[in-house]
Amino acid sequence: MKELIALLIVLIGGVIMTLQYFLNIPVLDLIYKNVLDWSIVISTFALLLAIRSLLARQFQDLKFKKVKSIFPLTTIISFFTVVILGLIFGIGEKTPVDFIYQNIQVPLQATVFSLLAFYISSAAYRAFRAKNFSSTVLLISGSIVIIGRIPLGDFIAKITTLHINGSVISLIDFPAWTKWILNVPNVGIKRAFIFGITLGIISTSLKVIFGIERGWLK
Amino acid sequence: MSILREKGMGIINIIVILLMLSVLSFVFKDNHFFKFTERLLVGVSAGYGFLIIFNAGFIKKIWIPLFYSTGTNNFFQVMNIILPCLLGLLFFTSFSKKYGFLAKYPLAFLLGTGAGVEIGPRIETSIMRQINSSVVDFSNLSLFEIFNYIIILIAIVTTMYYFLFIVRGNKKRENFIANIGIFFMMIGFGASFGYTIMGRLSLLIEVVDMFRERIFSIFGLL
Repeated sequence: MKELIALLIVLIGGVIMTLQYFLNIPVLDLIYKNVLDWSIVISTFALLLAIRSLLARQFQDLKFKKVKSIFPLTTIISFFTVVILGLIFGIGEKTPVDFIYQNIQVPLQATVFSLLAFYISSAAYRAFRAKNFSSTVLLISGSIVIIGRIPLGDFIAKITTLHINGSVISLIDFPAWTKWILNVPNVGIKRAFIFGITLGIISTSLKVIFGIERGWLK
Repeated sequence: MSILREKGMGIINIIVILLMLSVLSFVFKDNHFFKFTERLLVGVSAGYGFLIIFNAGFIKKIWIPLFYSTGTNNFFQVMNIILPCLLGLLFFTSFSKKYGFLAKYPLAFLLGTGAGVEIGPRIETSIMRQINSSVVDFSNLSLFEIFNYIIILIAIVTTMYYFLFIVRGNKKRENFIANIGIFFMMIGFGASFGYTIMGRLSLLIEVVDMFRERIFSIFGLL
């Protein structure tokens, strides 16, 4: 019975939301707008649960001393500092939260992501090896895009430019090749992936709506 | 006052530089400075995320409509705010063994409506429009454009053929069409990988530039 109610909620919600896109019925449009608002409100409570989970983990670390106390304390203090400052002064421009965001979150987040440059370079060193035909194609395509997006590519295109009968032709034009690779074969395979992913999303959505996929109930 | 502010900014710049250095120190080895900065970033990000969603969800959708909006007068409008709140509160029953199943109901609502909302727009944007962009009228196109569209079409068909009709591990079925698909995929993966490498390197350069700006501002050079 408990499961049946949950499955009915999924079925009714899913069918109404699917139909409202295809049918032009004002009541369904109104329901759709309200459902979007409801989802935001419900998600707010889900966020509270997530925050509770994060803090519970930190307090657990603090209590059982799984890691040095300063680490969970840092998370707890920084979280409450931002929240309290935000609740008192708001989150608009030139507020303390904005100051923290600009001076801690933005530079640190950028630095963390920039760390990936080291790891992705090391991954590229391993991936870009001409072991067989496929990996050679990968190597050539990757190298063209890399050279095409740095000033060296422009420089090579410039020094290999020929002027024939008033028309300008560059013999080794990495930027133009990069553009072609990104706009033609890359677009082709991306579209094929989009078709595949979309079919997957639609079939999974239908499985959830009709109660075939019930993993979330456990 | 302005001297104090400048000195304050100088101290903050030094702190930010040290924090950025501690993140970059992870390249050598995991260490306590990195762990400290990581936890700090988690706390600040969670706090900021909480404030954003609290503002968009609680303040704008619950608090203001209930207590400050003149449009929320009738029973239906009030219930339209109260009901999702009650549904959201059911999430917290997950801590109870007896009533834990109630937490599945808001989840069911989000899952069902979310799945339903996805289907229509996905069919239109990711299937119909993509097909429209792939199959075009060649009459007004140059030879080079026609060639490009044919390449795109071949890439789509062969890649999909590879994924839909080739059984993994069955070498007999890996035929010519699938190999063309693999060829196009390798071009695409190489391009995406190269593009990502350059993107990350640009970000690293940006971070170094940020670093330089903060150091220069400490010494009053900026």
